[in-house]
Amino acid sequence: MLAGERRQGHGDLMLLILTLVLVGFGLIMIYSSSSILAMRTYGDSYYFIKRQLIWAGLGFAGLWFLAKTPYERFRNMVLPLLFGCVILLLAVLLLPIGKTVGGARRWLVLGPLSFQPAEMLKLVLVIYLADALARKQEIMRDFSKGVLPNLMIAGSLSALLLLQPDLGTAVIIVLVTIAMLFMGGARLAHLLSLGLAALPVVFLLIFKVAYRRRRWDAFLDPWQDALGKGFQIVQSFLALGSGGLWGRGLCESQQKLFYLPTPHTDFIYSIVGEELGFIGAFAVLLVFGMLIWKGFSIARHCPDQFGKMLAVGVTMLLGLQAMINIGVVTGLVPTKGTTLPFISAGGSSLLFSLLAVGILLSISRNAIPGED
Amino acid sequence: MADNGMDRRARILLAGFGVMVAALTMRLFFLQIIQHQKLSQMALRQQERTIEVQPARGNIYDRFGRPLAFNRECFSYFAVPAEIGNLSRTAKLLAPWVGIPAGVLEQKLRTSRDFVWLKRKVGDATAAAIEKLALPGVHHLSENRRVYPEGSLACHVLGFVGVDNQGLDGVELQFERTVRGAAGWMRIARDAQGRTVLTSTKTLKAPEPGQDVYLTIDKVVQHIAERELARVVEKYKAQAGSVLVMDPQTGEILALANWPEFDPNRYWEYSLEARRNRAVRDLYEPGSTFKVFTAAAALEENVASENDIFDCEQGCAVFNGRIVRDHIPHGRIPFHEVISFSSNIGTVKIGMRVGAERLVRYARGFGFGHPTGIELPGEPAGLLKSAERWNSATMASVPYGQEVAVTTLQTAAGYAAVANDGWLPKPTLIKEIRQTGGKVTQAERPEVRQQAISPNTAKRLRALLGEVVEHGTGTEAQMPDYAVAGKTGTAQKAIHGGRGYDPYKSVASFVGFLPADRPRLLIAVIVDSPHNVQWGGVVAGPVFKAIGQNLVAYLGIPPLNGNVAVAEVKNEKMDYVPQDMLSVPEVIGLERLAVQDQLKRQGLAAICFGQGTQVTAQRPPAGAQVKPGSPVLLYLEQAAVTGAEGPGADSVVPNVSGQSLRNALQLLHAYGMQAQVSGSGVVHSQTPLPNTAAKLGTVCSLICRDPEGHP
Repeated sequence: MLAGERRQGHGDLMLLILTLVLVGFGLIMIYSSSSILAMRTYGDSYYFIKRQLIWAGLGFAGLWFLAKTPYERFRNMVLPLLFGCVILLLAVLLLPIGKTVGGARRWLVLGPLSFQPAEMLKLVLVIYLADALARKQEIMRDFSKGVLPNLMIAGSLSALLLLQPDLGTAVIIVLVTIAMLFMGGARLAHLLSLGLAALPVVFLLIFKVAYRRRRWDAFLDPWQDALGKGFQIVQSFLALGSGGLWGRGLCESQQKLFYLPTPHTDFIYSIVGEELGFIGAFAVLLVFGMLIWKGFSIARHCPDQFGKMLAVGVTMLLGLQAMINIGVVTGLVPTKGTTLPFISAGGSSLLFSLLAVGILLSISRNAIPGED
Repeated sequence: MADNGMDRRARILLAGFGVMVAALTMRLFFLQIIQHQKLSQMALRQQERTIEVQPARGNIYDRFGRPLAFNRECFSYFAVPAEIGNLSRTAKLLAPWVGIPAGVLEQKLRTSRDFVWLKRKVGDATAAAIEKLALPGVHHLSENRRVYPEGSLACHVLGFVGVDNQGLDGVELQFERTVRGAAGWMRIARDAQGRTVLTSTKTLKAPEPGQDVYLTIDKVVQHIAERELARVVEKYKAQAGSVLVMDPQTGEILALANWPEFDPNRYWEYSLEARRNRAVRDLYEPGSTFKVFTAAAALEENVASENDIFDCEQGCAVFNGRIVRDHIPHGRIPFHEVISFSSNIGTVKIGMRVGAERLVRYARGFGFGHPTGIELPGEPAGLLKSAERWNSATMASVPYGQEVAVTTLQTAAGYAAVANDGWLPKPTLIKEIRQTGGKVTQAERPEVRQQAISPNTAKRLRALLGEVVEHGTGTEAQMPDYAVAGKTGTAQKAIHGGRGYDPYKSVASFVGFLPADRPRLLIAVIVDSPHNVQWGGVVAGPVFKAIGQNLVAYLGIPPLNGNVAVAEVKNEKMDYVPQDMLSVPEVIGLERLAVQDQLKRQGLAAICFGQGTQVTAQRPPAGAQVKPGSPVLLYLEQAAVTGAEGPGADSVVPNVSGQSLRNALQLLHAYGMQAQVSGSGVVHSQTPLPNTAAKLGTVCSLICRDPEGHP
């Protein structure tokens, strides 16, 4: 305990620095990629960057608050929070305050800001799972008692997200849940057979929905229909490809000039690759890698099970989103509406990514001195 | 242990991330490094558009560097439909200015294309009006508009250009490759909606400006020729006419005038008839002017001499069944009188002594039946039947200029050979060709094509032609103090589409040169179908005389004996030292051309309103102080119905920006403008824009700021 006391009061400085680097870099890239779009659409080239700054301010305030909060306290709040998330999700779908953008009803409008409850749900679910799995440690090897109930909760929440529809978040929730079950001690055989059982569902979800089917086709061969289904991904390739080793230079992107849809949100990484080249894109990937490594390191040094589960869950959440986003942009993963944490423009995404870092910092304050 | 198990499983997950990072790195490397070339090429292709940059067309000057054709920058309007918000409103507002009905225009704009021409090369007033509308998606670019500052002067020589500045006729067409220059290429970035991103343009190849052409035309000579031609055409209500002034020794054409004429600035308003260069393109039966070539053959071949007697059979003779008549009956007269009284019968008899084969050979020697090689498009060869195709009646026609078809230019060149000791010069319009910056790339040297006759025969012919003017058919062309040589022609016109000749229509002509012994000037005058009087000597002779008298004074050709005051000819280039202010000279009552030259030498621009040759009023008044390059407005005798810049304009807005308010008001007053002022200090901006044509009394609004730049 003495050892724990000694470290109390200090968060992980390295993690904070990596976060600041990513958010700062994100602000630059949002300005670069959105200023012309913002000027044309809103008559103000700072339109998106202003909003992002407000959310970053809110996010860092929340981060600081969570970092100062002993993480054990989250366990007490998690059920009401989860309940609240479900209410908000239903509100998006059913109440007039829900906003539809690009055919998906994902946003709650609160005055000048809009908010995606799904982002909040991801974080709350991770806390819930960490709590539940830490408590059920002994029965995790039992499929029906340990694995199934948690899976049911994650599954039903995913179904709610699919109604928006928001396949991207649903997939991340399912993947994070499986990873946490695995972490919590579920048997590999159970998880594998579960995966097999899920295949028909995945098949239905992809191939029975026209626009996802298109995305799937575009993923397999984007060049076949470069002006139609494959347009977005082909434009992303062109952006990355024209970047070369060193890139065109900051703010020199041509692809952001309305060739690449959503250059400041889901496809901001293409613009990074175009303007800063392989060097810049790889550097961003590396920073995410370090952040993930840092998250796992915090988990390893955490003395208790809940902390470990929570740290891994939160890291999985951030890491998987980053990997999937970059995978989509480079054409390794089929297109989904996912943001690049910390960097993409988007208030809710930034806020909850920063809150996730806040949780990691809180856990890190309680670490035992590690052997490495 | 559970804890250890948890950490071990966490390591597996972390390793999973390691695999993902590695996979993504490889993928990035593949896209960004390996496929870099291919992908960036594809990106470039969609992002950039290559556009042609038009070169500046070369100017055309007269022999002393006075501009006859140059370029003026003007705006061409186009629309980018994607940027237009309200199509129907835009179409409605633009319609009156671009001359397209609103409905049609709206259809035109409703397109997926990213570029739609609205109107090319608009006038200043229209440009100002469109700018004022400030419609989104309506843009302009600068193009060069061809301007012919002298209007119709030398129009048939210059020709004209189409909307893309392509030469369509005259020197503009003939020297298209020289004058046009080479287009350049520029690459401009565009966004996915086709809009131009003007911040990133790259010149791939700079346009090469066209070269300047210096004509042999002398603007003053041309003006005199046109003026006298117009007078005779009006006096005799003729159908058409041509005047050609040539230096017989070099073949250089000093003036080439045709009537009807046209204004190359607005060529589309004129008929093809008016645009045709008759002197070069039209073939006619020359009639009596051709007799000199029959005489040349006879003298050179020694088959007749000046005093040989020919029986002109009292004005009516039959040759091989063909009746030949003379206008005035003659009996037995010597050769030289056959020519000076222009007897057809006598000339046929001379021709018969020469024989068909030799007659044709000499006619060819004088350049007939072959294009002269003038630097103009569409010159015909003419018709000259070879001897084996002559029939029995041909000998009764050709010697006095029937059954041959020639151009005025061919006739003039043939006479030039007589004037030039037998050497046939190649007529030319080009003095030199210069690159921008003044380097001469091509200087025309006088060229002779062939020797038609010996110098001695030429001298004898000149004496014969001198006699024509002295007491023959050409007495109307006599000039005091100068010996003139020449020949009249009164050719009957063949009935159009029928047989025989029209008794009431003729082509009256006079071709001659002066001084008769050492010719320096050759003038050919052709008047097509004059009313009432048909005689070449009566109709065309006085025109020769009028032009000749003007030109000997202008060119300083010394008379027979003693010296007559000779007009000073200034050939030197304008070389004024730019000063702060210039004083406007007194020009009222002076000849327009002289005034224009004088103002140019002083560094001022002359702008004429109305028509005529004499300046009746000027603005600003004499003594006013103006900046170098300022316009001086010259008002001529007859007020213009329409000015060059549109109906009603009779003044020009002076440039007053940067001037103190007091100076600006004085200047506006001097140009007949009124002022409306906002702010104080120096003039910051003005509307209408400087150098816009405007009506007298137009209110110009000036926005002033104090010199530090605060409004």
